[in-house]
Amino acid sequence: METILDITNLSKTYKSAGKTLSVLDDINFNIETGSANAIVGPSGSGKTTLLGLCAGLDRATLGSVVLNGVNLNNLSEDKRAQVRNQFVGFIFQNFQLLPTLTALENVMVPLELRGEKNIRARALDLLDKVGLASRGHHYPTQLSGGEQQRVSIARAFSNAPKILFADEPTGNLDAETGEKVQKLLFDLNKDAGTTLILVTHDLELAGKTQRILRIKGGKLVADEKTAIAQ
Amino acid sequence: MSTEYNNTPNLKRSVQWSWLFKMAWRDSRRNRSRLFLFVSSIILGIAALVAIYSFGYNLREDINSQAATLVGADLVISGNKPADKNLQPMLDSLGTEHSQERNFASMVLFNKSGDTRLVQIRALQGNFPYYGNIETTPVSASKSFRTGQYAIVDAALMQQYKARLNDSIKIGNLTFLIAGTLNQAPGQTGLSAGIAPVVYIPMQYLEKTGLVDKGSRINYNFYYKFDKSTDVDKLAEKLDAQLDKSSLHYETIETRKQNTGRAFSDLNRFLSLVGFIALLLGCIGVASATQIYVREKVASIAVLRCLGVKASEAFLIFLIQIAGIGLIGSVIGAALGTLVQQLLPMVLKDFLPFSVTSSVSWLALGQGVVLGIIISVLFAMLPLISIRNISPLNTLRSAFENVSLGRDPLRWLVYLLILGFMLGFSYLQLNDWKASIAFSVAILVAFLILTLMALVLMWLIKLLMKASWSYLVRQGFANLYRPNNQTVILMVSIGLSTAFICLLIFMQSMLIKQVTLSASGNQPNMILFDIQTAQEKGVLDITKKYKMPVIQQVPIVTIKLDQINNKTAATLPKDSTADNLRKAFGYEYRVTYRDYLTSSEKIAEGKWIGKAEEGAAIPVSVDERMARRLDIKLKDKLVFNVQGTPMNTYVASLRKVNWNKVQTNFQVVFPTGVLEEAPQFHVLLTHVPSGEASSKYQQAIVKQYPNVSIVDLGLVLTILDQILDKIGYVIRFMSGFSIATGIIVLIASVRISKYQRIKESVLLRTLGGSRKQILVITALEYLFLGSLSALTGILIAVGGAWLLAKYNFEIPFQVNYIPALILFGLTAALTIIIGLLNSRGVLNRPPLEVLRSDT
Amino acid sequence: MIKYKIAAFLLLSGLLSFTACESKEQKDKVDTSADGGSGETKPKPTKTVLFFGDSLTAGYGLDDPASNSYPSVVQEKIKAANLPYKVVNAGNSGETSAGGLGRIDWVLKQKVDVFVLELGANDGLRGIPVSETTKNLQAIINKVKAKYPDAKLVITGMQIPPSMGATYVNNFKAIFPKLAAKNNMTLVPFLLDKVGGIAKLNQADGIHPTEEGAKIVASNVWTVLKGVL
Repeated sequence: METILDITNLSKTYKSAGKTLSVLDDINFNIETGSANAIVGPSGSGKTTLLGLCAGLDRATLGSVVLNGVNLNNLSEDKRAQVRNQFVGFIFQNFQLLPTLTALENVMVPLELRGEKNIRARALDLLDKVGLASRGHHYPTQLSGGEQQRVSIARAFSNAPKILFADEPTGNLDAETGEKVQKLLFDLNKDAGTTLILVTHDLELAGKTQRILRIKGGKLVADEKTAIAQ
Repeated sequence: MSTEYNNTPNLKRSVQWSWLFKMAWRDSRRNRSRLFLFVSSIILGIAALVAIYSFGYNLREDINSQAATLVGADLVISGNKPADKNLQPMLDSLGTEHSQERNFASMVLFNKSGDTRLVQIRALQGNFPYYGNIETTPVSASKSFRTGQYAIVDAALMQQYKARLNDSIKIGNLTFLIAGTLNQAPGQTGLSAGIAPVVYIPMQYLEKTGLVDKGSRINYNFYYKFDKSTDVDKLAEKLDAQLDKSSLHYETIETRKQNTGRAFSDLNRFLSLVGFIALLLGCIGVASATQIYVREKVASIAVLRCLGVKASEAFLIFLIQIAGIGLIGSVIGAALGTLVQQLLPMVLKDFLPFSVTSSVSWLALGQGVVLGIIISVLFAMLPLISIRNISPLNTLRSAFENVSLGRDPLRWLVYLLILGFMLGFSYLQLNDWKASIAFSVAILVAFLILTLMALVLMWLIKLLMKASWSYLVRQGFANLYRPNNQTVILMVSIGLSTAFICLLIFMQSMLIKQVTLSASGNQPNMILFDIQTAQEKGVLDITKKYKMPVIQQVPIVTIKLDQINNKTAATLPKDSTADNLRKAFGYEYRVTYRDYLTSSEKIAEGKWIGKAEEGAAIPVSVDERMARRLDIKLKDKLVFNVQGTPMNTYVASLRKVNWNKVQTNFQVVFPTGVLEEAPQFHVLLTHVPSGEASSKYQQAIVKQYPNVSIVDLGLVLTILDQILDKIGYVIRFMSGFSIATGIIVLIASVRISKYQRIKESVLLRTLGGSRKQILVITALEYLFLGSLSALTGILIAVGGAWLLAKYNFEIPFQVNYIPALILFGLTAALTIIIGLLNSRGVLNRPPLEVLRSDT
Repeated sequence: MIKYKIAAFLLLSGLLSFTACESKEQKDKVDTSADGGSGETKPKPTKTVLFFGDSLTAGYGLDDPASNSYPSVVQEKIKAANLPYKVVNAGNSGETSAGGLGRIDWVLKQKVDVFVLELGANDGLRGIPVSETTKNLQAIINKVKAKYPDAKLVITGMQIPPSMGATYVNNFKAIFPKLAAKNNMTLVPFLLDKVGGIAKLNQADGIHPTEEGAKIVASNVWTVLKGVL
């Protein structure tokens, strides 16, 4: 099986007021291409930090993150930005749509950044897939939370990422809407064959992936296949 | 998904400029209202600047084109002796055309009334003036009088002696027919005509009047007209040495222009100051507004970074946006400024000795727009470079929201650029490196003082804060030093705005004070000299009879200085080091005696003593400048010689005297009880309501007391009044304009904190804080910030005004603290009000709605 | 604008200085410390020559009026002739005859043996009626006579520029011989003889003699005065 993400001896410490705070401690795992995975753990366990490191949003203190064959540790922030643009998609708990851009434009941004062609049609196509084709000209504040997260999903898939990171994608949504968003996320993921990494403390959501990595106190304490994988 | 899979990472993506522009544009759409603050700072700053610049350019151009009519010729050569014989050929050969004039004082006889009167005769030959006109009634007289035995007589003189056209006057041995009334001659501003009224006659009759003879005191003027291609100034400079040898001097249009321009230099300087301050206020506005703006943009920028936008690209997007908005603001500002400038000349048109055109100054417009863009970009740069440091991690954790400049080395470059800009710009305004450096340093110091104040304030509050204080007070004050506080930026921007506004108010009132002359009825416009003691009562009676006020009545005694602390003229060293003192001993002092101080003097040192004690040394008061020049100190012993009688005096006080007032001022003032019996004459200052009253009064006085000389400053002062009035108006107008800019900036500054405070207020609301509690907390915070910033700002302004008054305008420093107090209250109140308005949105709506709508 | 204001002020102060006066005083007599030049080596002069006049007497515009004004030069001549006279300079720049009349009482507090009257030029330049000037000068003479009946009186003749107009100029010129005759005074026919109207002997204003000019003026006076002493 091909590996898309390879984490080796990953540690992250913060220095604060002269004290060293270890957030992640010697984490090792790798992720198969096209798989769906969940990182779970209690608040403050370090799972968001791990996500940030995996996605190249931050730099590790020790160890390496190899994403799609590129060692992120050796790259500058600007280079990592380009890696993100080319291989990575994001979905956030609080949607993080650009408030000054319409739904359609939000979806277009990653494509535009890549300098692709036929952007508008492809973005519209994506919005259609998330069921919001008619709302393309609306600004985020004019959309409900569920709708915003759907736009955000469309944006995440727009650059055909190899890997998609989702940080509590349903955390800010009511159960029913959350359910719909989850379904959309998994469906699109399956269609595109994208690797998915979810960060959540919702075990039910985690259960819908193939593999669950448990973090506690900055350490990887369990790595288990779910029922779906078997 | 349809996108082709790209497996090899391409990490050398180039910047796509068109996309950056597109993003900048898109992003601006939803932010227009917020960008409005930013734009309005720019608009007002640039508008003020362009208006002031355009006015300056137009004024200068008009002086250029119309100075010619002030002089009347391209070159004037004059002297008080007949020209050397060997110089005459040169004098005759100059120019394409020339005229001559001889002028001198003489007694003329009005044949009808039989009165004789001292006048200034101007005997003219040729077609002078070549620019402008000798203005006469009837108009044709200015030309026709040259053809025969005619005279043109000053209008006031005609009135005084009830002369009519075609009456005759006798000048020397000849009788001339009055062909016209003289209203205005080229170059005659009223001042020069003040002493002796002018009578023009044709020069061909001068010889026959018999007035030009050995011992006659004649001034010789030669007027020349040149081809347009001739560089008259170069020519004149070349002739200068030769002319100088014959005690001749010259004037060209250029030299006159410089002199005329200098008369307005204070106005120009003030206008530059106003422009500069308006601009700096604009700068603060831009910096604060961008600061707000970037803070709001942190989240969006983090998302963009997540999506793969490079730090530099994110920076560029907003730089483009700011530059674009700066451009729009500058263009609108320039247009507005031009509009204002169109109004100025309308106000000014009739007090200048020439008209001011109100054409659009494209140069000023261009400068305004360019400056506007530079300022927007430069002053937005500090907040903008922080964009580069916004981490994409902010999408995951909102705790990173605090964007600080940290130790970004680029910051220093920006500081340097700003400093360079200030220096360069102030140099453009002041044309003097020393002054520009002083100016920039002063602003830097003001900035540092405010920053320091803010830091000290935070430290003090933290130190003094007591748990025993009520929660509301603690919360309000804690806002000042808690992480993410805005204390420094608010202190600096409110403080600087206040300082600038206050400085303008101070300078304006100081200049206006200088400008107020005889506008009111009780300012003197007529001076009577040489009234003998025996005549004093009679003159007063006549003055009373004509219902005119005695504004000042001063005895004047002439004395000499014999000794300073036992030093006399004889004991002085013979070398040049003692020149000042030698002059002091040779000089005659016109002193007065009285037991009070006038409004134009103030005791600077020592004690004013108004009455002399019998037998003791006499306490005198000496003008500060004289004391400085002669190195006289308090208590020094001076022996004055009053027409033969020595007076032992000591310096009891030094006075600061405002010599710029039309009234009698003295270097030395004696107390009463000493000089009453000394030989003296009296000066009387009065105010005549009209020209007619003036001539009647003068006639009455001169009839009875022919030795009394009368100078009617009426006409001169009227012209001056008009000029100063209008200049005062312009000064007020322009400072009002800048103050408006300042208030907008103030609003912008306080608005900075809006987005900061909203979240907190919502939280407090959510936790059950009452509307009143939140209001009190906010009000306390802003009250403290507002009042302290305003106070610091005003103190800075006092210092600045002192420096400006002393070194730039060279006027006495007088500050009226009432407007400053008002400004203080206003700033504090405005800060609180805007602060509370910021919270109003939070208070009137449910917390959740606020949170949702206010992304 | 300030410039204009200053101009207005200068005008005013200029006029003030025009009427104001330079009182070059009898330093020699009153002064406790310095005998400004003229009298210091004299062996106890006993009699006083008082020059009562305007700027011409005061030595206006000269570098060192205390030794260059014409009365000072006359003092030198007296010294050279070894006469027991001491000169007192009571000149007062810009003074008119009316001003002199106001001042005379004060000046006459000191004993006067020879009184030299030099006033009127400022009246002439200002176009004051000749009758007025005559009246004032006569009043001054009367005061001197009343106070010091024994004093010898000298009057200096004055002329004004022809540009003032022949009638006025002639009437003015006639004042002095008339007064001299009437009051039995010795007349210096024209104080500025060989100086007035000659550019190089006058200062730039064309009115006041230079140091060189003052010497000639002193000779004009001395020619007449030495007969009186």
